[in-house]
Amino acid sequence: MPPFRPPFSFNTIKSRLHIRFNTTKSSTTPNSTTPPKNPIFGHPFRTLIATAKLVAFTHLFIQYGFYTSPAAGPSMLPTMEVLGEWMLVSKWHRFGRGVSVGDVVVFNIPINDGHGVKRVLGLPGDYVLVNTPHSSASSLEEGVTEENRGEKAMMQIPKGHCWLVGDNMEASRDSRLYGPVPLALIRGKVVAKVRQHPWEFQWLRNPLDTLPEYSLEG
Amino acid sequence: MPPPSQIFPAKDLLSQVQIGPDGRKRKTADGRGIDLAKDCELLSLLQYECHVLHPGIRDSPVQCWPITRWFRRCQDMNGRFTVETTAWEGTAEAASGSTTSTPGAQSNHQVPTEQASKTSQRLVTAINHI
Repeated sequence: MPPFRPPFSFNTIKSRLHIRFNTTKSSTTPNSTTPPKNPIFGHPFRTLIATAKLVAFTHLFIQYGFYTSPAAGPSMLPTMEVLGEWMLVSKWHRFGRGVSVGDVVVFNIPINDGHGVKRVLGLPGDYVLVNTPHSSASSLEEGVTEENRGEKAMMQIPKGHCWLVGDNMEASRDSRLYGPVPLALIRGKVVAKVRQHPWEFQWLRNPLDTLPEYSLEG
Repeated sequence: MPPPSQIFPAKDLLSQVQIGPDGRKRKTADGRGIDLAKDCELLSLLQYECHVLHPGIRDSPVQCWPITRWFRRCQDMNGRFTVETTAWEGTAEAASGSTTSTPGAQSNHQVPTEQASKTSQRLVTAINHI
């Protein structure tokens, strides 16, 4: 009768489980000269490949998902502060996709290399006031009427364009200066803002979507 | 550069609204023209006029005065479109447009102007910033 032989020897189990022991015997074997396999540094290209994957995924996420950016300037007061606020921008809305009137967007300014943050007041085919409607706080000078100040001039937004105006109309250079902006210049839609601390996170709502419908019976 | 666009006075809004961005007359489900007062939902949005109260003083507060902008959201066969009616609501053109199409709807146009004046008289925000 042959002696009992287990299906796996101890050496086989060791090699399957990648267990290595520092024994004097094993140090003399030729295999012991190779460094122990490490899950990160074991393969010469493993770290490189993992880094490349991470970079590619991050790029994909920023390019087509979301990114954060600091917001600065007085043109969107009081929606956004002059300094110290960050915004979360959805790139899904790039090129004006899914953007509606009332949304706040980030766009490439057509007359210089910078990018701006403004509110959309008109999309292709919509009708907007070309100039600035004034509040009752600003009184008209003598002899100046709303008509000859141009407050009642209107236009229809051409195809492929939108009308962008900052919330603080006193300190904003926007479509009132350079006209309708091509939708292709829209980089994304601002979906949230955060101040200095993460708990000061706040979603930006579209006032035209969430305002309760005005009662016509009133 | 955007294509050249026609500027028109707000009193012509009712007639201008009938033309789509392609220059053709807008088609509606019932074949009638667009009636801003009757067919379109009234919406509003606040924008502001902000001033530094004391420009010579460091950390001076900023006061923002609201400006109500009124919109009508209408529907044609191609979908929804928005018409800014800030300069049109409450005018004689709006009232005459509504009396020809919807008798008795004249009072509708008085509401937003009253609301706008109430809102704009109220100081909304005073912000301290650097």
